[in-house]
Order: sequence, then C-alpha cells, then structure tokens
Amino acid sequence: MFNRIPFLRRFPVIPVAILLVVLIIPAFFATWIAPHDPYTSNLRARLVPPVGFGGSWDYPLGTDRLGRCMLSRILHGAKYALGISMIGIVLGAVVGTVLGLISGYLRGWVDVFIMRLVDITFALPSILLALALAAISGPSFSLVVIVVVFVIWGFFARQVRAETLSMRERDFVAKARVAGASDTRIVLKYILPNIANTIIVLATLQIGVVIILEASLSFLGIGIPRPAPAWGLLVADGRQLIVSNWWISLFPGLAILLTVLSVNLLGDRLRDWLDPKLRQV
Amino acid sequence: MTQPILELRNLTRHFDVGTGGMFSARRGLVRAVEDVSLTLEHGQTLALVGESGCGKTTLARMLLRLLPPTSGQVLVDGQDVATLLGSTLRAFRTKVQAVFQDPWASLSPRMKVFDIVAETLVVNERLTKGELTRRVDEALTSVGLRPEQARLYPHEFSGGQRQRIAIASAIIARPKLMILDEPVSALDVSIRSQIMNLFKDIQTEYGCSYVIVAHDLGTTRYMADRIAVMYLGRLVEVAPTDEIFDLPRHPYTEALLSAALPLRPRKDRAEAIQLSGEVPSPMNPPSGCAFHPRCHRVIDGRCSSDIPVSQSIGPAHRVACHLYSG
Repeated sequence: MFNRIPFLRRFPVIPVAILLVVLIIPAFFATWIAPHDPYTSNLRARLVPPVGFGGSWDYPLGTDRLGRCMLSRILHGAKYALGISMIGIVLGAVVGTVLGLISGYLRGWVDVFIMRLVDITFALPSILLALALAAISGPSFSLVVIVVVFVIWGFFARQVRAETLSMRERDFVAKARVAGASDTRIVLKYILPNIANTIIVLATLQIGVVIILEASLSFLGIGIPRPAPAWGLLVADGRQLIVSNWWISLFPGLAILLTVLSVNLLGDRLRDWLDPKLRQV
Repeated sequence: MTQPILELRNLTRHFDVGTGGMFSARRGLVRAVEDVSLTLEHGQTLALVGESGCGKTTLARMLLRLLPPTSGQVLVDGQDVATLLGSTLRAFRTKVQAVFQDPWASLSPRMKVFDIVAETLVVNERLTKGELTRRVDEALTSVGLRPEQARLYPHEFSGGQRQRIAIASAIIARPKLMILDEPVSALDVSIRSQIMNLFKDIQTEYGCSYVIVAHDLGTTRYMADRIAVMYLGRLVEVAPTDEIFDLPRHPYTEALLSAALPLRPRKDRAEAIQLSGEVPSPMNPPSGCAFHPRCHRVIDGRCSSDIPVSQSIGPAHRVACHLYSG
C-alpha cells in the first residue's frame, strides 16, 4: 500500500521508529512508562546486571552503583537530549538565520563583520568555552543551551547568507523592487520563504551534532548538573566500572548512538526530499 | 509640445571591477552604458537592440531605478528618477513597471498568483480586500487567465501562462511605461506571437508606452515604433522601425540586419555581411569609434581616433558614424 504513494515509498521507517522508541516517546511519557523512579536508590539491588546476564525483569537493564534502575534513568534522560537539542537548535537557527539574512542582503562591511564573527566562533573550541563558562557560573541547563547556540549559529548564518546572496539577484526580487516593496518586505516575503527548506534541513542535520555535544558536556560534568539522568552523565557514571559492570555505560551510550544515527539518516532523507540540489552542506 | 514619457540625458553607467582578487591593486572599469540620450513619447514603443553584453539590460535596470547611473539622468514625465522620495517614489513605482525575460525566474515559487499579481497595489495603495480582489480578477482577465486561477502557485502553469501572470502583475497598477526585458525570448516560438499580441492589446487599451529590450529583430519589427541600436554601451543608430529595416545607415545596423534570416531565402538573400572577431571587452574598448576594428566600411585614420558624434540625418533618424559627418 505504501508503494503507491511516492512520499511513503521512501519513508525512512526504521530511523523514525528508533527515534520514537528511544527519544520522543520517553521524553514525553517517561514518568508513566518507566518501571521505577529514576532518582530512588535501592541499596539492596546495587549493580544488578541486565536481563539475560544474571539479572531479572525487575531491572531490565540492570542498576547502577546506588541501585537505581538504568532503564528508568535512560528513559528520563531522553527529555534532556530532546529538550536541549530543540531549544538550542531553534535559538541557534533563529540567530543564524537573522544574521545570515542581514549579511547576505546588505553585504558590504556588515557582511564582512558577521562572517568574521562566524569564523571566530568556529575557531574557538566549544568544550573550552563551556569549561570557562562553567567555571564562572557552575553547570546549568541554560549554560548548555548557550554553548549549543554558540556552536551552531554559524552553520545557519553561512548557509542562509549564501542562499540569500543568490536569491537577492533573482528576477522575482528585482520585480518586487520594481513594484515598490521595501527591503524588509523583500527579505521576509520573497527571500525567507524561498530558503526555508534549507533551514529546516540544516536544523535536522544539526540535531545529531547537538545531542553529541550535550552528552560530551554532561560527560565532562559541565553540562546538565547532577543528579539529572542526562545520557552523558550516565555514561560518565559507569566509566570507572566499565570492566566489571559494563551495562552502566553501554546502554546510555547505545541510546546516544541510535538517536544520532537515526537523526542523521532522517536528515539526509529530508534533504533529498526537500532540496535535491543540496547534496552536501 | 507635450512632455515625453521618458527621456534619457547622457546616461552613463560604469562598473568598478577587481580583476585579480581581493588583494590585487589592478582595478578595471567596465563602461556598460556610455552617454546614452533618448526620448520616448506617450503611447509609443521603443526597442533597444544589440548583441549580448552591449548594455541593454544595464540600461533597462537604470530605467527601473534598480541601478543608479554613474552620471546622466533618467526623466520620467519630466521628473528625475534619482531624486524621487516617499510619495513621489510610490507614484513612480505604480507608473513604471517591468516584465522580465524568464517567467520561471521572475515569479516567486512560494507565492500564490493572487499575491504576485496584487503586490504593486498592496505595497503602494490602501485598498480594501474586496477592491483588491476585483482589481486582481480584472488584471487576470485582461491577460487571458481566469480569476479562479489566482489561488494557484506559479509552478502549476506553463511558460506562456506564467508570462501572462507576470504581465498581469505589471499592468494591475495601470502603468504608463513598461520596460519589457526580452519578454518573449524565453517562450516557445508557438506562443510568442500570442504574448506579443497581448502586449499590443494592452497598449491599445491602457495607452501605455513600452521600452522593449530584445535581440530578436522579428519581435522588434512587429512591436516597435522606433529602434535604438546599441554597440558596446553606446547608441549607434536610432530611427523609426521601417527606416531601420529599409535603409539602415550605420554599418553595424547593416551587419545586424543581414545576419537575420530572410523571409524568402532564394529571392531575398543579399550577400551577408560577416563581422570578423568578437565584441571587444567593454573594459577596454577600442579607441575612436568602438566598432571600427570590425567595421566593413571603416575610414582609415579617422574612425580609430575620433569618437563619432550622434547626428540627425533625417526626421527622427540619428546615427553616430563618421560616414555621415562632414
């Protein structure tokens, strides 16, 4: 049945299914589907292995050092991954798009200034920036968002600028100018709608980058503050015990891997659908 | 004597171009349009012809105030276009409209036909929704489209229909002057004549004037009252259409006409004048008359040193060539 409809024939069923199971459903419904409270420790059930490795269905993915249910913690961790990537990407895309539009439309010294700003943000190591900020204010949710915005806005600014440069020379823009449309109107009604696809595709492709970034920051202890069960923190928790109690790090790591992989596959597919011209960003 | 709708006075446009990248000191100057003076009366059609790169499109862009001239003036109804501000600029924007060459590029793919056609009115005039709809319907009807097609997007139309949409959006504010930049050359040959007839009907109905930029002589012969021939940014000959075709004076005009395919090949085929070489770069035009290195009637000495002045050689016939001076 799916084959009849072109859109569905190439629908990426597997990546979408993985994303739903690992990221989206847990992010919204963890409270109801998680078997245990992610913060409650059961000191009589510490370091229980997962089902099939000597554990029981009480703790399907085992427990950590304090006897907390790994499955519940991973499910609750999804909302940090999703929340950070959504908020960070939306903010980064807005900042990058606005500056990219200004840069590409006005050109001149404004363009040079904004593009050099992009170069600078690309040259600064994001982890170092996060370390410095964390040293000043302590790790927090908003700090992660700031770092994410800092890292990704430049991709949006560059891509949007390039598209704007080509759009502003199109005949329909000249026609709008002949009709008397103002610069603001031209940018918002003529240029922005015609580059919206690019922005959407780019945003999707950035989700993987952001989730990895958030996990790395949390792993280093400068991301989401403890005791929240962010995936990066979970991986870090199991680090010292990785030889004897491998499941503590493995399952959150797997969650990160599956999420990023699916998101990237989805982004690629979306790019092919929306913009066959843009094969690489 | 009434004021002409359009008057160009010594219009010149140069482009500064870097020739060797950002750090190079070598700069070049492209003389895209050089000292062009012309007038166009109400209700008349003027065609600008010439090879690619002769400055036709730059000239058209200056007429539309998309590009400021380096020097000289564009006067529309006696008003210098460069000095317009506020309400006089809004009046200019409804008075002068354009139709571009490629109807695939000149309509935003993300806007509905209604919004495309209504744009000039939306931007310049305060109208009620009902009035706006009525004007859009009227404009669509007069270009041969149906009012209900206003709900569609441009990609749902064929090339000829898209050009009709572009024309509808140009005429909705009832302009007095329309700049047509190669209005039919992107269209199938089979629908060109329909579109040209549409332009003629619109002219009869609204009494507007046209400036047509074209390189197709057939189009210009059919549409234009007068023809201005350009070569390397300069006007070489301006004359009524019949005179240009029957009695071209400038050697470049002769060559241009003889390159066109004759209607009856066996009978009409005169010996074609073959120009040698390429159009020289407008960054480094030849000395004297820019056409002299390729001219088949070159006068030794004079043509390579003096720039010929445009002069009248008949009523409404001007030519810039040393053959006709002194």
